[in-house]
Amino acid sequence: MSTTLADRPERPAETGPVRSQRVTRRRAGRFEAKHIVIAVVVLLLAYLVLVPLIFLLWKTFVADDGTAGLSGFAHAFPDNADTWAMVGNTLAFAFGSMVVSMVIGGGFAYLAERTDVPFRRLLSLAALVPLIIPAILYAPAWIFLGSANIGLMNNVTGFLFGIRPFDVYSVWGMIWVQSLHSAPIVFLLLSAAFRASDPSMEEAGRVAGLGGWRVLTRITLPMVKPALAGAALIVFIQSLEVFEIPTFLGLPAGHYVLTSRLYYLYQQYPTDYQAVGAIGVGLLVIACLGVWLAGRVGGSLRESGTISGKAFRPRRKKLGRARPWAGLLVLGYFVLAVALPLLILLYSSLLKTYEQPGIHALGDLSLNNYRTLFSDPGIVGSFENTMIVAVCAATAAMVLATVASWIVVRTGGAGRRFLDALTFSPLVIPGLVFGVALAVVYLRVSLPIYGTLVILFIAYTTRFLPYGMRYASAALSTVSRELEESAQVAGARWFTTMRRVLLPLAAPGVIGGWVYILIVSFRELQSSILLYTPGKEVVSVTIFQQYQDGNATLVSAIGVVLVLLLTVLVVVSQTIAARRGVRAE
Amino acid sequence: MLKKPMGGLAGLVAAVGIGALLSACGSPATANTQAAQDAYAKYASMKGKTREDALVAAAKSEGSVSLYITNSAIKPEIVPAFEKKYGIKVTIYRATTEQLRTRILQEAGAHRIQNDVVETKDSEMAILDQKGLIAPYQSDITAQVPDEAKTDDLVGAYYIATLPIHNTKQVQPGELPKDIAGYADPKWKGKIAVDQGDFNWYEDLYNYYTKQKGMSDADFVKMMKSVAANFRVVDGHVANTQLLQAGDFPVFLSDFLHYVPANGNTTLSFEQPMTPVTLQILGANPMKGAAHPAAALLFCDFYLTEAQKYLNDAGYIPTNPSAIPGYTPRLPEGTTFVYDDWKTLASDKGNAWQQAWSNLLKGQDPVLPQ
Repeated sequence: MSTTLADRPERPAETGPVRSQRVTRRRAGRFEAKHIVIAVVVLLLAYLVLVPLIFLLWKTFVADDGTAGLSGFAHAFPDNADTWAMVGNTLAFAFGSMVVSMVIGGGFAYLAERTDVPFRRLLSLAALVPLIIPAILYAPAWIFLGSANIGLMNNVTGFLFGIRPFDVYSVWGMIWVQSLHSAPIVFLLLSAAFRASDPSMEEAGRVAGLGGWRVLTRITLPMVKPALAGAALIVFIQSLEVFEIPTFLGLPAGHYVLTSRLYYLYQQYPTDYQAVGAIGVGLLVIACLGVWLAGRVGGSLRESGTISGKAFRPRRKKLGRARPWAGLLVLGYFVLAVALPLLILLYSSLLKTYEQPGIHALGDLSLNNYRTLFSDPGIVGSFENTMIVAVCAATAAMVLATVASWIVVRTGGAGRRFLDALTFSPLVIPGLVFGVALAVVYLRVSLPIYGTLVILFIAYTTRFLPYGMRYASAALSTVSRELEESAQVAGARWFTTMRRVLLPLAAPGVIGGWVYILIVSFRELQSSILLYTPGKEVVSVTIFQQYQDGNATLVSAIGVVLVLLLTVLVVVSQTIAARRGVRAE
Repeated sequence: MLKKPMGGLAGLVAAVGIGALLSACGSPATANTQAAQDAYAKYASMKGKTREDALVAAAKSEGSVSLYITNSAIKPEIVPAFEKKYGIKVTIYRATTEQLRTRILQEAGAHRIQNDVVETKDSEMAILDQKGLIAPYQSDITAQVPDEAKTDDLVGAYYIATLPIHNTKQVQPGELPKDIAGYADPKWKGKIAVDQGDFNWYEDLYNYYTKQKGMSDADFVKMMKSVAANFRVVDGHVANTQLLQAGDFPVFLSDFLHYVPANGNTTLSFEQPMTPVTLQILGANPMKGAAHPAAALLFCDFYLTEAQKYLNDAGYIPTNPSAIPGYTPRLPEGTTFVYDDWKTLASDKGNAWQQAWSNLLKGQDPVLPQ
């Protein structure tokens, strides 16, 4: 079976664009829905993203008295050893987390999609649960597992071997917990990419005598480069921004990172928006660099999607004697990433106040937290509100992201890189700045937005657009341009081509993005807490309030219900998608 | 899904939004509703049952009251009792003190005050007062509150006490030092947690030792540096009190009294409190731009009277114990208290204390504001 990659050297590199231009020219002068859709989407995106972005830049470079300057940078990054130590710690933590989460997430994605590893279904669960567990509980759950003093894992090794080797309060502890938390997005992005790329190329490599390592590095990984680059970029930025893990695990060990500085600035009065903004702008520069790099990596594949007109059937590599070991690895990961944190969550949800596991605790177990949860109209209402906002935001973000990704991946305009960077920027705007920006704008708009769920819908759609973009562009760039061209040559309009050809093929990635945004919408707190409407709380706000009230075990119960609810929702949506996918084929 | 008409709408919304954004350079706006001012003036001279009856009648016609709060006992206990007694619907926005301030300042900046009552701490109330957003609370009930619980901008309803809390399974009675200097002993290394946000507590200690005990700045710095060498820096009182309870470390030096449950069924204890115990003053104020001024006043009155019981049950120190039959203080007679220096904290010097505290925690100089 020949493949697109194999075909590539035989045709001039510019064939795609040239042919595309020809098709476009042929249609020039004809009114096309495509142009309206593109214009509307670009306008909407620009509006959604520019509001917080202009606010960020304005607050960073213009002081309250109207003078422009760079003093925010001096406040945020004073020139002393402390700043350099903080930057060093931050980069070490972010880089370490990126590498570990790429290895974990990417490795398991490869095992799940490309090999006959056992317990594959467990990996899908392992990709969801760490994302769903409330952030406020995730780091403490790991303290209960890995603290030198009270950690359950140390208790077990202490009992069995007389040693207590784990210390979660360390850089390695931070990297480990953050990596487990980030690995799911790597897994989700890469498994969609692996699923969409043709394994026959690897077979061809093997037939040609390449060893396993060379097949992996020369064929398999290059095929999913856009997804790899996108995932690395996202987890790196996430690690620069994460609050809970450095504050819970780094601070007691004296490791200060960028977010410690943000927290410090948040506490000040008057709020030093110039300095907060300067950190945001610093992140923005890193993100733009990353988008540019990811674009360059993805660019090499832009002309040749791996899903071509030729049929392929995903075939899994036989692991042979390594199969039981790989299975053990999957089981081990499942236990560490899912079972242990979930068990701790379940156990604490049955208690009134947390106590170390043991016989003495058994008598205190009860279902009281669940009774409270289901009988409190405020908590139940916050689930309903979040569900409405999250489903709408995930859908809107993915519609926008899919069209925007099409523009970035398929068109040759100079603005596409800019559009790519623009849609990535909400990821790096600090939550406080983001929340204040939306409040400033919508408090002055007489439409019923501020004080309603609509403002949260706008906030989530914008904040999570970058995830949608990574998913959608990774999915679209694996689909060969020639399929669209064939459809167009056959007379199909753009809409039909998108609906009948492109979307069904890119569906796994697009649905993956929708699921991811749905889940992270349940977690968003930093802007929600500033923007929520009294009486219309969302789950993250309820969790925050209950936690502040000292009801951590009730929060655990909310966490357990969230895990169940979202898992069911994800499975249902994937089942529906799979059925549609079958029909589409 | 995307239809043509949305293009025009998006452009319109974009123009409105971006225009608003550009024109919204935070000129400090004071929300001021004349109706609220008139109402406050009208009720200020009324007393006792007459005042309550008048407020209830007016509040019922107003229909509801919107509270912006930080206290955790208000939603589960105080609001249900208030709603039950007066039949007035209450809506609550709750966040941390900094988030609360940010939201109010944004709403005030857009002349869209959304709340009738704000409930927060002394220094934050001073900031809101500087911005001209709160109305002076005037009522005969304030006579029941001692002067030390009153600031220029607030009649305090309760105190939050900051003091060391320990895990009784890890620390034996009598083992705890009576003052902060005792924690300089190397045996406490890594065992005494402090919150990185507690620079107000640090300033209180400074005021106590230098102004009340006559210690020199140099001696205070020397003492604090030797104690800080043993600190375990943490973030978040709630989460770390749980870790304290679970036994992850034995003492939380700058923890809050109300985290030790009043029923005593816990491994946490504040017995033998270190001298001094520091107090923040918290309370509720009506907003100048309140849409429901009578209901706002009614809630503030309630907060200083019937709500005192719930505040006490939640572990806070009530400022008006005369409203609680059979009240017994949680802290022993003769405990030395120091009150938060809210005036300094609400000024530019507050940030200087934050920097000094941060330096102390990181082992850097200077550890006093310059």
